Amino acid sequence: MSAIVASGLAKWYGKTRALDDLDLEVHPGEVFGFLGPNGAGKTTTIRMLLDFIRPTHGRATVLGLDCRRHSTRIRRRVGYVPGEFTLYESLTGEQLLGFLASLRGGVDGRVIGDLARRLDSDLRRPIRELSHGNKQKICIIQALMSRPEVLLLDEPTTGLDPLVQQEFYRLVAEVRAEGRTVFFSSHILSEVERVCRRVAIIRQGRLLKVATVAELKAKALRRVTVTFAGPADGKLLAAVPQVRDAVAEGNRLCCVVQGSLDATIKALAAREVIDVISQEPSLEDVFLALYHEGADAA
Amino acid sequence: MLRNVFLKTLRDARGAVLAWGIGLAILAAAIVYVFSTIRDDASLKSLDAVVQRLSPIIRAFIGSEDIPSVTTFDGFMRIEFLNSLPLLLSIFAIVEGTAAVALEEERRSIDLLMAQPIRRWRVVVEKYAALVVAAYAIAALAGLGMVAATRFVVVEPPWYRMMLATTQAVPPALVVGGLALLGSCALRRRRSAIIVAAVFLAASFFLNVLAQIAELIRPWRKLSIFYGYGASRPLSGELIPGYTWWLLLAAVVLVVLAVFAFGRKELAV
Repeated sequence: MSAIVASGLAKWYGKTRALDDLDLEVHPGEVFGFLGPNGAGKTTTIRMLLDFIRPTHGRATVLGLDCRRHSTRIRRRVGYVPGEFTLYESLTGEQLLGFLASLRGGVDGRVIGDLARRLDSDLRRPIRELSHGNKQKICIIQALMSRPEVLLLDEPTTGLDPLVQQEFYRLVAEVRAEGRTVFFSSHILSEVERVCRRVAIIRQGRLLKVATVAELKAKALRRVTVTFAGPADGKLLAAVPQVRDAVAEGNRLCCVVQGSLDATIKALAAREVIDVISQEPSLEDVFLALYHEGADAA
Repeated sequence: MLRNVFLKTLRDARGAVLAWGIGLAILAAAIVYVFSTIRDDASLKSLDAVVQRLSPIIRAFIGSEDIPSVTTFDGFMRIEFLNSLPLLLSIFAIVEGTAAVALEEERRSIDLLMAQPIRRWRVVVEKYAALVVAAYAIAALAGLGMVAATRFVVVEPPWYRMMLATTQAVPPALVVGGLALLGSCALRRRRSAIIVAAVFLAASFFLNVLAQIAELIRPWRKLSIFYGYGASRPLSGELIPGYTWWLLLAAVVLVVLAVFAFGRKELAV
C-alpha cells in the first residue's frame, strides 16, 4: 500500500488553477521531495491531503485512507509542519505541546524532551518571547512527537540556524530508517537533494517530473573544461549531441554536457588530453533545466 | 489543564471573564449602594416621578415601560443595571464567538489545531461550550457583586434571587454568541462575522424598544431576544414561562448551523 496517492487531484479558484491533475505516488518508508517555486501548488497539495481544503476534482489517499472521508483517522497518523503558522502566543512551548499531545490522546513526554534537547529548544519560555526559528523548532517537535507514520513537511527548515538544520536532517533520516514516510515540500533544492531519494517537480500547479535524484542528476547540465596538450579545437565535439556551448580558448575547451559524459570522453580520445574537469551538477541545475524545459513546452 | 479545546478556550478567555465579571460586580454593588442611600429619601420618589414624566420612547429605551416603579429595589436595579445586562453580555459573546474560528484563521493558528486528530464539530461545540461557561461566570460574578453589597444594606430579595436575576440575562447573549459563532465558521473574515452579529443585536434591541410604543410592531416584540428578560421581574422570581427555553433552542440551532458551516469550510491559506 502506498503512503500517499494523488489521482487527478485538482484545485481551481475560479479560473485560477492552483493545482491541475496531479498524479503522484509516494512509497512507504521513503523521503519524497516536493519541489517548486512559491505558488507552484505545493502547499495546496498538502492542505488537500489534510482536508483543510477540498479538491475541485480528483482524489487523494494517505495510508490507504481517503482524504475527504477519513481525514480524522489520517491526521491521527500524520505529523504536519505548516509552511506558515502562528503558535498560541500566551502559552509556553511545554503547554502548547501538552495541549496538542492531549488532542492526540497523549504522547510520551520523554520523546518531547529528547526532541527538545536535540533541537536545542527551551520549552519553558512563553512562545511570544521566541524568535521565528525557535517557534519553528516547536512546530517540528509537535509534528514528530507522536512518532507519526507519515510526516508532511512544508518548508520545514525556514528560520532554523545551520546547526539545527543538520540535526533536523538527521531526524528525517532516522524517520526514514524506521520505515516511516516523509513528504518534504521545499523550494530549497540543496536540502531536498540531501534528504530525498525521489523528487517531484511542480510548476504552476502542474507536475513536471517525478524521478530519483540520481536520475535527475544524470540528465543535468554539467560544465566541462578540457585541457589539451596542443591548441583546442572548438569543432571537436560538434558531432556529440549532448554537447553545447563549446568555446575553445588557447589549449582549453569549455562546454556544457547534458547527461552522460561517455560520448564526449570518446570524442576527446582522438586528441591528447591533459585534464578534464567536470563540475558536479547540483539539483538546482536540474531544476532550472527542467523548469525552463517545461516553460518552453508551455 | 489544557486537555481539550474547551479548557484551552476557557483559559484564553479567563482575562476577559475576570475583567467583565469584576467590572460588572463593582457596578452592581455600586448601584445597590446608591439605592441604599436614597431608598428612604424623597429624591427616589422624585426620580420615580421624573421617569413617569419621560416621553414613551425614552421610557422604552431605558426599559421603564415594563417597570411599575423605580422606588422598589426590583425596579431600581432593573432600570439601572439588570436591563443592560443582556446587552453587555451579548457584546462579550460577539467578541468571543467571532474569535472562535475566524480569528484563528486570520492568525493562522488554526492549521496546527486542525492538523490534530480532532473532528471539526468538536472544535465548534467545545469553543461554544467555553463561551457558555464564560458568559455564566461573568453573570455569576455580577450577581455576587449584588449579593456582597446587600450584606451591608437591608433589601428584600434573598441572595439566590439576585444570582438568578443576573444569570437569567445570559440566554439572550447565548443566541448572539451562537450567531457570532456561525458567522465565524461561515465567513472568511472575523470583521464580517462581527458586523452580522452586531446588526442582529442592534435590530433585536430596537425591536424590543420600538415595539413598546409602536402599535404596528407590538406583536413582533416577542421575536426580540431582549423581550423576555425585560418583561420579567427576575428579582421577584417572576419570569415569562418558556422564554429561556426558546432562547436556548435558538442558540442550539445556531450552533448546529455553525457546525455544518465549519464542516464545509475551506480553511484560509
